[in-house]
Amino acid sequence: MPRNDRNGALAIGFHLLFIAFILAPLVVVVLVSFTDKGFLAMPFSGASLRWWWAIGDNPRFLESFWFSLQLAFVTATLAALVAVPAALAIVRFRFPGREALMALLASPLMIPHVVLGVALLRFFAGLGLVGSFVALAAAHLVVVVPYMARLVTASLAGLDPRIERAAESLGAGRFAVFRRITLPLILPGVAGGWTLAFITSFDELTVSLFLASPSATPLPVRLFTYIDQMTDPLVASVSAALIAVTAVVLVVLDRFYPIDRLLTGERRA
Amino acid sequence: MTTASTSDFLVLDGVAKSYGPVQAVHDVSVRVAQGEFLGLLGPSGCGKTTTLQMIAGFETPTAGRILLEGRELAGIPASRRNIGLVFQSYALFPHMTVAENVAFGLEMRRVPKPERRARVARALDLVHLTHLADRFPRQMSGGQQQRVALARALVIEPRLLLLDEPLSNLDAKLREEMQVELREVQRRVGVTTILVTHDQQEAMALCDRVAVMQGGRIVQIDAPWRAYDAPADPFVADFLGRSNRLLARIDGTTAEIAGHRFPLPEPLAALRGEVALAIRPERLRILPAGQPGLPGTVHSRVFLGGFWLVRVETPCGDMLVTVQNTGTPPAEEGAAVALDWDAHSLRRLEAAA
Ligand SMILES: Nc1ncnc2c1ncn2[C@@H]1O[C@H](COP(=O)(O)OP(=O)(O)OP(=O)(O)O)[C@@H](O)[C@H]1O
Ligand SMILES: [Mg+2]
Repeated sequence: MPRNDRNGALAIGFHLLFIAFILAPLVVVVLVSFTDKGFLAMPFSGASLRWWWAIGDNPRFLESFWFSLQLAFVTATLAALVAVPAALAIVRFRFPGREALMALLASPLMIPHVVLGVALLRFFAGLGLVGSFVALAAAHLVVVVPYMARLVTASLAGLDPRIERAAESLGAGRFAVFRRITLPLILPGVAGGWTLAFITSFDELTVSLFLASPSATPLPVRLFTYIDQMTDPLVASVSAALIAVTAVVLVVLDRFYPIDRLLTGERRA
Repeated sequence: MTTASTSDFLVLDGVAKSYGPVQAVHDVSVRVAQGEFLGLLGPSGCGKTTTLQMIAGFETPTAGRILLEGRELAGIPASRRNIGLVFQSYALFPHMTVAENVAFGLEMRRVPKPERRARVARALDLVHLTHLADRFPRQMSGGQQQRVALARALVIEPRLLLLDEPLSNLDAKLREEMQVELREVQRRVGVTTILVTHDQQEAMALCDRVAVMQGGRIVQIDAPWRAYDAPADPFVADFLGRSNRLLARIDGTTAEIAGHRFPLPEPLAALRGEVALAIRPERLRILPAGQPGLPGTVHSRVFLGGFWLVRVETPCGDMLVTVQNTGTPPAEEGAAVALDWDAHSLRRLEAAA
C-alpha cells in the first residue's frame, strides 16, 4: 500500500503546525533563559549564562531540585511495586472484588487534583504528617498509580498466557515463571510506566501545593511561590532545567527500551 | 514407586471437565502404552485441548482420575509432572534465543552448565536446527519455530509428550515434511506421545492408535487402519476419510439397492429391513454402462495426481469414487456408467442396536 504510507501536503502541514504549537513555548523558555538582561523579554540582544549561574547562587532552588528528584524516584518505584502485582491479579485471575480493584486503581484519574489535594491535606493533617516527604510521596503515589497500572495491565494483556504455561510445564515454579518469563516480557511496560510516573511526580504542582512545607518543597512549588513574588529570567532557567531533566530521563529510557517499541513488547532489535 | 505394566503407562479413568454449565469433556477413559503414539482426533470444540490440559496439569478434572506410571496426578502441579507440552501457537519465549529457549527446562532442573550445553546441542541436532541456535524466535519461520518448541519439550526427557495441533499453522508441504520428522524423532526417542489434531490424515499417518472424539466423548479408539475400515458409527465413518451411503432393503443374503440386487457379506446377511450401508470411494469400481451394477452418470471428475476423484450420480444419491491414475483418464463427464463393488467392502452404518 505505497499510497497509504505517504501523508498528503495538507496532513504534513497540519502536523508541522501542531508540533510547532506544542514546542514553541518550550523553545521560548529555553531561549529566554540565556538572556543577559534582568527581565523576561523576547527577542533579546545579549546572550549569557548569567541566569543559569543564578540557579547555583540560589540554594533554595537546588535544594528543591534534589528534593523533587528523590521524590520522583521514590514515587515511581513505589508505584511499580504497587501496580505490577495489582495488574497481575487483574489480568491473570478472576476473583471477587476484581472490578472494585480496577475501579479503585483508576479512580484518582476521575478526581480533580484540587479536590485530591484538599482531601489528602485533611488526611495527613489528621496523622500530623503534612509537610513531610512521606506525605508528598504518598500523595504522588495516588496520582501516578493509575498511569502505571494502565501501562502494566496493557503489556500483561498482550502477553500470551500459554508462554507462561510452557515455562511451567518445563519445570518452572510460580516465582521462576514470574522472574524469568513474565517480568522480562512486561519490562518495557513497567519501564514506560516508571518513566511516566517519574515525570508526572517531578512536575506535579496542584496536590504538592497543599502538602508542601518550607523544609519539603518540590521544585514546581518553589517555582510557583517564586513567581508569586517576582518574575526574572531565573524562572526561565529553572524551567529549562526541568525540561532538561525530563528529556534526559526519556533519552536514558530510550537507550534501554526504544520508546517507539515500548508498546510492541520487544526487547532487542 | 509403584510400577504399572507398560500397557497402562498413562490411564485416564472416567475423566470429565465442566466449565459451569458447559460440559467440555464427558467421561473419557483411555489406556496408553509406554512408547505409544496416540492420536486424539475430533472436530473443533470436542474437548481435545481440554483433555490435554488436564493431563498437563493446567486444568483440574471435575471427575475421574489420571494416572501416569501408576501414580495419580491430581494435586501435582504442572511444573512437577515432567510432561513435555507443545502448543499450537508454539509459545516460545520471545526474549530468549533458540538455545536459551531449549536450555530453559534444564536450567529449571539445575542441570550443570557443561551438561546443559551438550544436551541442548543434541536436542537442536535432533530437529536439525543447530545452525539457528542464536536466533530469536521472531526471526524464524513457522516450521522452524515449531521444531524449537519440539526440541524444548524433548530436551527435558519428559515421561510424556503432549502435542496440541503442532502442525496446523504450516503449509501443506511443510506439514508433510514435519509429519515424517515428528514420527522419526518420536521413534528415536521412544517417548510416549499424545497428538491432538483435527486433521484425520495427520492422525492416521503418525499414530499407532487414534481416539476419535465427539462432543466431549471418545467414540472409538483403534489402530488407524482399523478405525478407517470398521468405523464404530456414521460419525467416525465420515470423520475418517470420505464415505458413501447406500440405503438398502435387506432380505436373506441379498440387498436391494435402488431396485438392483447385490450380494451381502456374512455379518450383514442376518439383518432384515431398511439398513443404511457405507462404502469407501476406493472400494467402488466404475464399469461401462450395461454391466451389472448400480447405474449412474459421471457428474464430475477431478485429477488429484495419484488418482482421480469421480462423482457419479446414481438413483440413491451421488457417489464418490477414487480411480487409480494409470495413464488413461476415467469415464468422461456425462458418460453413463455402472458402479460395482465386492460384497465384503460394504459396512453397516447405523450403530449396532
Ligand atoms: N475456559 C473455558 N470456559 C468455558 N468453556 C470452555 C473453556 N475452555 C473450553 N471450553 C469449551 O469446552 C469445549 C471444548 O473445548 P476444547 O478447547 O477442549 O476443544 P478442542 O477440541 O480443543 O477444539 P479445537 O479443535 O477448536 O481446538 C468447547 O465447547 C469450549 O467452548
Ligand atoms: Mg484445541
